[in-house]
Amino acid sequence: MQTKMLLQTRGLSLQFGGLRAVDDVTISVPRGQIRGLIGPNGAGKTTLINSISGAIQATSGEIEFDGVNIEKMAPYLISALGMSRSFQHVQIFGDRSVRDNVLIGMHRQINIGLFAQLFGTPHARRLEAESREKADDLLLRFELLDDADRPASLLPYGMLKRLDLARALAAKPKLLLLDEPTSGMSEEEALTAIGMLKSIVREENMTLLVIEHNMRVMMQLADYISVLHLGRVITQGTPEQVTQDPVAIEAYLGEEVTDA
Amino acid sequence: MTLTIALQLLIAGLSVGSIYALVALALVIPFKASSILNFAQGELVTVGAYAALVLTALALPYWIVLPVTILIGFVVGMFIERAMIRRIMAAPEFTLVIATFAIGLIIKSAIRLYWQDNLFTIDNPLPFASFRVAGVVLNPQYLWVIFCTTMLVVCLAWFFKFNPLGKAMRAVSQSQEAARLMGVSVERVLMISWGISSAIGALGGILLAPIIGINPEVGHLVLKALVAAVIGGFTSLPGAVVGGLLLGLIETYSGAFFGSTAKNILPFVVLVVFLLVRPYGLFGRAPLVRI
Amino acid sequence: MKLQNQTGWIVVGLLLAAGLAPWLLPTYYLYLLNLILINIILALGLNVLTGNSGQISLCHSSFMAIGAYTYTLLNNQLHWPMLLCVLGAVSLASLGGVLVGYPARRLSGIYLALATLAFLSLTQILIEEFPDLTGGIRGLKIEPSEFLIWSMGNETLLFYIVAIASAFCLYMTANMMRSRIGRAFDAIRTSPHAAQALGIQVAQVKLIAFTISAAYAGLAGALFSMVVGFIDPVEFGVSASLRYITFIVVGGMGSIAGSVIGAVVFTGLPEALRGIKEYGDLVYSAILLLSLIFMPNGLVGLFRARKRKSDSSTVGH
Repeated sequence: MQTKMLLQTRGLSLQFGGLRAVDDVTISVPRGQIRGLIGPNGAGKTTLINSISGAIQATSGEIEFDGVNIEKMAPYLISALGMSRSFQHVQIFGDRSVRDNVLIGMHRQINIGLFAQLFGTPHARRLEAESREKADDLLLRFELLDDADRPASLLPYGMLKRLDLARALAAKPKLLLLDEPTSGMSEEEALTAIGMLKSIVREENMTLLVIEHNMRVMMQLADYISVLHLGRVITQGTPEQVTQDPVAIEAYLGEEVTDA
Repeated sequence: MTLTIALQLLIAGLSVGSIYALVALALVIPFKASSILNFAQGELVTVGAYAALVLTALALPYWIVLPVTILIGFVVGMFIERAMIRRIMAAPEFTLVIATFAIGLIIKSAIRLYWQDNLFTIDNPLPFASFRVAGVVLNPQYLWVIFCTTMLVVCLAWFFKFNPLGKAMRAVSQSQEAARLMGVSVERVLMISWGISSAIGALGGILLAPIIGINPEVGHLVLKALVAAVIGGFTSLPGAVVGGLLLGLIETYSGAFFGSTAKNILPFVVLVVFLLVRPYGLFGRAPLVRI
Repeated sequence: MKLQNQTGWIVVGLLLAAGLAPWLLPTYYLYLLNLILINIILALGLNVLTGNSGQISLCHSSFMAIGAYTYTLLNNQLHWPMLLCVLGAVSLASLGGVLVGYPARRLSGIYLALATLAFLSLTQILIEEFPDLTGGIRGLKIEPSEFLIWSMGNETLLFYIVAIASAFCLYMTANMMRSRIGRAFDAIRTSPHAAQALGIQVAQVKLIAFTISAAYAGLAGALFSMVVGFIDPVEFGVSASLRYITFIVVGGMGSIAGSVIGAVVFTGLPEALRGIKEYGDLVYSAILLLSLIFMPNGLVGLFRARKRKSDSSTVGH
């Protein structure tokens, strides 16, 4: 009996001219798993995430998400299927308030017709109010509620990363792709943020694909880890297995592994 | 359509196409150097026309008026870059686009303030009338335009290939950082490239003056030059020339076949088609984008 | 809550002023007020497209032209009732917005600017090439008509029509900015990639932005025809588009207050420069350029920055 994978890539490759950024990657992520993605710089992790989310198109191979082939799908359609993501270089909507950023994350969930929005019908107002409440719940869990009305551009970096997380979670996605969610955070901030993240993920039975350089964070977070090197998956296993795997260790030799 | 008429239209088309090519070159040169599209380019043509007017009124002979007009254009262009464009180089695209439009409008309204909407003209530089060759009427004005544009293209080709400053400009248009590292003064190059492009515009102005006259709306032809630049591709100098000539020919022939409404509409239809199907033109290249 | 009360009082005050205006103001000032309100509608529409959604557009005046000429022709040739003429104007202008917005979805930056410039040129050419219909460069006079029992020349009636229309546009814009679509506009401007990843269909939102802004401009065009009584193509060229861009650049892009401030200042300004009318374009463009260089966030941005400095409370923990 084969458990259906939520995310399945087969022979996924991305070629930029002469460079194979992603090379024949086949990974299977079952529902509810927190999958970590590690590897030295330039291993192709962000490129892999970008191709899964639809931001770049793969040169060859397949991506199957919840039974649907998405290699040629537009990003907003992929998102509509239940995928969401955060960004390595924070892409917050700075002009808008913190709360509005989360509400934008809930864009797909808020179904109010355009004319209802324009004319401010009671129905529209009610739905909007409900959405605000849900957004505030999420902000509370990420300790951002006090700054809900402030323009997001005024937030310090660590809080921006938390906002990025909250926004990605707001859509209650089936699969969440995170690209270095704790980079730039202090050790304490990182562990707190990851704690918040993990509890929500487990509650909603979300599936996670996370890139992380901070091994301590990764150990705490991931159920299973894939190791990338030069675009290929060189080994996979539980966190304990991977940290003792000679193949993985060799890939990191000469590379500085960020340990804190 | 007889062969005679076809040839006649050819000359007319190449002549108007030369002007388009000239102004298109003036658009592409600073674009390649600074990635900024100068929507005020039309007004720099107008500046050239009025400069020629003033100098001619001073009873100077054409062979002095021509180079001085070009020089005036050069100085104006350098001034615009140094005083205004330099300050907004790093601004978002919207600012750059609208700023150049604003500069153009400033120039045009200033000119209009002094000279009003009167139509002036200057005399033909070539003192002989149209003549016939094999049944085709040749207007020396048109031939002069074609000749000057050809000389310009040749000079530019030489300049960019052999002249150290020209080579520096090519370096800057490929990579400002790399050029700077190699000791090129990027600021100076940018200023000079805007100067050159305005000088070219001014040349266009004085060439056009005896043919269509001098008034504040002369710069309107920049729209056609923009179409030519899109056809050729904003990153290609030969493309600008080809685009201009092609547009001139398309316009002239379609005017003869389909009437003036079609002639006026066609360039913009062509523009839209290119923008949708081939925005980087026949010879341009798409910029590299990093996600 | 205090802010809500403040806004409430402002609205009451404005309603009162609007109600009394036709009786208190002499004809000329009423006319000026009408123009200000029409410009507010134009600025609001342009801000939705450019300020909020980040789309460069040089053809805002063309959408206004479509509205103006449609209203005038429906009024003059078909003698439709006023409301239907306005509806026709708004609908056709919106169609224009779709015509530009649909191909525009894949364009940005200078290429988008050029596409809108092409649309502008085409509408101008079409207006000038069919003088039998549009009056060509000579222009078109709006024939007198009635609305219910009043003549359309009645200045009180005109004022109320314009005032209600602009109040409505303000209301709709405020609603938009508070809702999903308003957030989507800002999102596609700030970061199209993030917007896509969160499920926003960028192309569709761009199209909506173009359509809505064109609808506003079409309404403004119809009102302009009513109020001024005469339209000609000079009113709808590139310099007109630049004027509306000046409203929002100087007022403040992406902000309703910015649209209002920009419209008020720049409608009042030409009147203050009464004696030196020829300087109009020169002053506009100079102010626009200076604003772009030194005050890119507009007057509203200046005000906000000053307010932030005086607050100077630290954010976060």
